[in-house]
Amino acid sequence: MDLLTLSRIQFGMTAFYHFLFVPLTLGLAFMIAILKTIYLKNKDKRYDQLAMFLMKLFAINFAVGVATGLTMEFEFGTNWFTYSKFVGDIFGAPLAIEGLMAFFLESTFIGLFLFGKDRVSDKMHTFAAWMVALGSTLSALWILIANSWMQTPAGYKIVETPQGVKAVLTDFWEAVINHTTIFRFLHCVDAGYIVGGFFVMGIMAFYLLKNRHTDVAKTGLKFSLIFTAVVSILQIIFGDIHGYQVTHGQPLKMAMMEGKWETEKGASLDLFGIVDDEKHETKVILKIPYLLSILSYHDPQAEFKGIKDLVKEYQQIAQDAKSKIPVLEEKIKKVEMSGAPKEEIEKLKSQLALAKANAKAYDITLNDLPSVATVFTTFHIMVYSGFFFAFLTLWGLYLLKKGSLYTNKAFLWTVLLSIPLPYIATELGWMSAEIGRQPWLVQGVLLTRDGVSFHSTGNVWFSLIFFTLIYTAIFFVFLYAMIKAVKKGIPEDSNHLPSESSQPQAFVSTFNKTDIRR
Amino acid sequence: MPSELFTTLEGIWFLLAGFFLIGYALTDGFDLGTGILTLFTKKDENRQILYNAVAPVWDGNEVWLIAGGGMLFAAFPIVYAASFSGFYIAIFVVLWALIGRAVAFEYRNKKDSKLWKNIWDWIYWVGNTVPAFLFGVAVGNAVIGVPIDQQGVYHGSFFTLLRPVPLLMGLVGLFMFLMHGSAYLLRKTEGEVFQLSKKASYVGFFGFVASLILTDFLMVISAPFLYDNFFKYPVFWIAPALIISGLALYLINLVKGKYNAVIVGSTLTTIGTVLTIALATYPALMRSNINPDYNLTIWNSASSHITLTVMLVVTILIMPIVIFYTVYVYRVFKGKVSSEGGYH
Repeated sequence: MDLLTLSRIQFGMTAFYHFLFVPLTLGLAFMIAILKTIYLKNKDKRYDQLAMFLMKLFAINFAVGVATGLTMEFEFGTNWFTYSKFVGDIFGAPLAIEGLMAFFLESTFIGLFLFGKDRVSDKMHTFAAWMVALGSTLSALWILIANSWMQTPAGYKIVETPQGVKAVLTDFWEAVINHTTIFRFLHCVDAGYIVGGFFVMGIMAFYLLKNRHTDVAKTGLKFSLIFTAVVSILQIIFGDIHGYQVTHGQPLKMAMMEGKWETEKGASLDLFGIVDDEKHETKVILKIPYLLSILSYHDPQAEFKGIKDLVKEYQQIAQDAKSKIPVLEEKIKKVEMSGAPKEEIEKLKSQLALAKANAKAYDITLNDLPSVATVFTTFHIMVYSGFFFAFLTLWGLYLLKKGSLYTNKAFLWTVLLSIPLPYIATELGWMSAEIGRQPWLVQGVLLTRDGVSFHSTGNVWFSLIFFTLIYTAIFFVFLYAMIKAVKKGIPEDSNHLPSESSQPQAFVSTFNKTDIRR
Repeated sequence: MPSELFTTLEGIWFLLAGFFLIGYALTDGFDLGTGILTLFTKKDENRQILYNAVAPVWDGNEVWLIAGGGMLFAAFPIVYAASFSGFYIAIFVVLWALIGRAVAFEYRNKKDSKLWKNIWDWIYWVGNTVPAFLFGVAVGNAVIGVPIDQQGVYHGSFFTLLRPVPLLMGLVGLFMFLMHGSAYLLRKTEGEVFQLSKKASYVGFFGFVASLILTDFLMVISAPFLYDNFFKYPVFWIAPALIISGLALYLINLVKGKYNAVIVGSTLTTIGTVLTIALATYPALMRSNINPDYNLTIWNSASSHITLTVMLVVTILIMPIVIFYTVYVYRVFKGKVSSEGGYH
């Protein structure tokens, strides 16, 4: 395997793994904060018990999330040297702000929440829960700002320096908003809320099926059901708007997601199909006429561009950029001779740098594309899962109204077995977003193959093998701890660490090793 | 004093990079230093105390590293790219160690078996000791020079990094963290662990002094340029003076039995050490031993002024708030810890 493939496998693998833990952090933190707030209002101990129990599960998950998140921050530099140099001016800032604004908040207050229950007031304890939730949501915001800039770059110019070519910020807000950030963020965070909602629903269903903690589990199920119903229905709206933005910002990605090789007027939405990457065609099994044009352009007759035509268009852009290069070089020579102001020369030089970058980055053929079958399949499974979540929660709401929510075995089993589904949906969603972004690291500016570090492949093999071993081991430990904690059940009394050693060291009994806190 | 340190964005960011390094060393220094002691006590409850001493705060401490890494990426992207890709293997070893540390905290007490706990204690020890050593090695390499070309591409191997001066600087860092961590434990513990911390404080102190003197000697021979700044700008002597006065305070308080004040000494020593290295290498952040023209300095590796300005504003707005609530949480958890309960 070559360096590029290895580097992509390693980054993909570590990102995929990291994102096994992120969505639950988002969803659970938010739910715990709401539960603590309800408890503060009505002093019903069941809500506090639930919050403390869920925080214990949160902590098991959070540890791995933090540890693997550190990997992500290091990996841009280690494996994507040219990329880091190229975009650091723009991409580094949101990463740094994420640290300042989000991680400090989350990590400091989680310590206070887990260990400080009897050292601070109920109000402060609830405040800490909100800060953890705010921190995790803010971190999603800033990392998605960074990601969105790669997908739809804005607010930048290109300059050439002795150390190499780089993108430079010209307008901070334009780079931050870049028209896809907001809905990408809402779509992603909401996915996290769905993961958290199903996780809690499933565990509560498990207790009800086992006849354990029935009182608390009923409270928990009702709460998580209402929460999940809201976020699942919202997700359909967010998903639609985000999809609309992708169509307009990254038409090639959307064409791959929909498996459209050819341009269609009044394009149909293909529900099921088999994509053939070799022959460049899709065998459609079931379709809804006009729907894709309606969704993408809000007009049933609109033209939806296919992959082949888009690639041709990009080649044309590359040609145009190429032909601009000598013209600009001439111009720069002239202007330099005439002793024009520095700004004018700078401007022309950065136009030249952009033309060079575009000439290289848009020069793609069908062979440079990722597996369209993968993009198509991952995207479709994600969408179907999303609708499944909405229907399942609506069924639950109907049962709640009928009064048989807590006894309907079919529903409880379905919810319990559905715990992994939102995880799968979020991971597949990311796969379609990131594989669908290929062949670019920064859309239209930098190809993935041009962003990689200069290593021996041996280096990357070494890290890849170690990552695989370490991550596999941690995953089993994580599962073991999670299952054990759920089996152990909800503590009757939300206990916690004794605040200070009230007795001399010598009297601390070694037999007193029970998990006192929970 | 070079005025550009305060009058240019690049200079200010050089100081800020130092600020984040110091912040990391002072806070995660508690965790690293206490973690180094894990295997030096056999009793389970003593080990548990070592974990409990930092359990509520370690997570926030580690964020200084994440924030610092992000800052380096944002302010000096080429230095971030060149060092992280150049020190590839070393970076990942540090990373895996830190991953092990984070996970050990969480999972050590999930199973009541001696073997299980022992395995996690080993992972935890490695997870603290290896980074404590390798941070110094990495900084040492960056300041004495590594084979990077004009583009910042590294032309060495992992073994290039294992030269005497950087290895010694690794030891300086290791003992510095040990000093700081054991000083923290003197405030947080009683009984056997307290006695252990007292011993460790002496070990840390003398180890630090010995490796510092040795490093100095070797540097005079192999990297004399690192002394130029101190003769060019005499005011820079403040930094080494901080080290000396910190060490003096540390030892005096330790001998006099003023155990709660020992930490003042290690704090000053840590600030002094980071500052000394920073001022010695100024304005270079990463030197090339192929050609000094390829040095990555604050002038040729900084981001654009617009990015530096945005980041400066964000830092000035947010950092005081961060420091405020960090201090608050530390105050909530002040006092001695027991071995009860454990982490979860």
